[in-house]
Amino acid sequence: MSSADNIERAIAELNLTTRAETDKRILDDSYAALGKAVHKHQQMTGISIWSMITRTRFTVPAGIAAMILLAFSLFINFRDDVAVNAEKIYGALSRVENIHISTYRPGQTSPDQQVWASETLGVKLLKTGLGNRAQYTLWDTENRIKMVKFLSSNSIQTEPITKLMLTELEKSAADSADMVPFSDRDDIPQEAQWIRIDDKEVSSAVPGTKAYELDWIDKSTDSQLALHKKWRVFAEDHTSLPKRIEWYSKAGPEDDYGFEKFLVITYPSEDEIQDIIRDVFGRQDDPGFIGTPEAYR
Amino acid sequence: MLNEKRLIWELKQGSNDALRRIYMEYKDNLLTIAASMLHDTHTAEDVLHDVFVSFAGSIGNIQLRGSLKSYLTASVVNRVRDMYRKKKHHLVELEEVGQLASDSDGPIRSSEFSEDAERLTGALAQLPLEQRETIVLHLNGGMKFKEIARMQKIPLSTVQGRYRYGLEKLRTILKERAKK
Repeated sequence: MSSADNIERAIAELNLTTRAETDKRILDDSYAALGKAVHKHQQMTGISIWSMITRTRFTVPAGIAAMILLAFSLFINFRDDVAVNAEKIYGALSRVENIHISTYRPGQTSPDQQVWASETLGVKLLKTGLGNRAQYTLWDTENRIKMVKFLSSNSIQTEPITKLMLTELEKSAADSADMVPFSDRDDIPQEAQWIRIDDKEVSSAVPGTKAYELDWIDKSTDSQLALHKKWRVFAEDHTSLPKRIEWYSKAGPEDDYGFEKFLVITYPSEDEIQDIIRDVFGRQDDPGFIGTPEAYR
Repeated sequence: MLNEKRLIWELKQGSNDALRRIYMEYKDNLLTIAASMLHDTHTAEDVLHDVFVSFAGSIGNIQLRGSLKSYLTASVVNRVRDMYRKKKHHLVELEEVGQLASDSDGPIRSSEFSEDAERLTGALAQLPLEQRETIVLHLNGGMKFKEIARMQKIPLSTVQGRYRYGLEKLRTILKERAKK
């Protein structure tokens, strides 16, 4: 073992294996530490970004819940292939880590609202308003910071996220553009129908997807007026991920459905979401940058 | 190959399975790094224990800026340094006692290391901690000099120098041993 090469190789080949009792001791103690840490973190933050998004009905988990409900509660109305597809959509959504949802009104080419959310980064970015009146709000639960940028004044407000703020956020966002119609099993009417759309004109509207519809009568808002609602989802063929969602309603069974709004959904990478946050709140060249620009922490 | 970001997210939700998968993936390499630096497998196991318990216990605050392996490796190195700092009277700085470790079977209790490996770690133990750390991180931890420099917050040239001088000294030590 005289040459440097040999020494280097010999060191690189050093290898120890832990003993079983060591593994058990370390894992037992680590599990206990993890349990305490998670409990403490939940107490401090109140709620995770992902469950925050869930409760605001913006994105995936609410979608997951709805798909599960659709798959089970309405199973009797499913043809087998449709049921399978509902399950596939659920499975695909359950693996989503990053999402971007743009909400449009019919005839509009610019979205009313956009949401970017990253499960792994623990951030949610909301854009409302158009042009120089647009406003960006970033919730960074990892750093427990909320930042708001007003394009009109090019100013940024930063404040710590409190439990109260999260609660208010949930309440205020609950009426915002929904990705799915129901987040609670009990809300789904018995007579709701889940079908696959075979009409080629509809199903080919979003290339590479298959279209499904949920129809039901909404009696929740006013008992005197039973509003007929329709939720249409275009799920990508090979991933089963929703690419577009459309909302319709009508007052009576004889009326035509009115097109209310549509959502365009994409699944960006973590880097793409970070880039958007950087672009909005300022460049940060640190390669280790995650979430909120460090200058604002 | 672990999906590290996914695992970290699962950990933050309290998943024991995610923690177990991370542990199983990196435990042997981290133990080897610690044992190579400490020249003591029992203490190295304690280091591994502390690193994982601390990792699990601070999961709420962890943000992965590099790879998980780099994070855990850095944790091991920091823990080893702390042990040297805090328990200097217990952990003998072997470079100060020269041939003591290398001539005998030494204080090492690394029964899991082979005889050749023991000789090698004995020689490594005679290097200054900084040189030993650099060599072990590069060769055993698989870290690039650039990564080590970033981790230790020192210039790249310093890392390269420590590696070069360390390796040179190691070769000298091993040559002297071979003559005896």
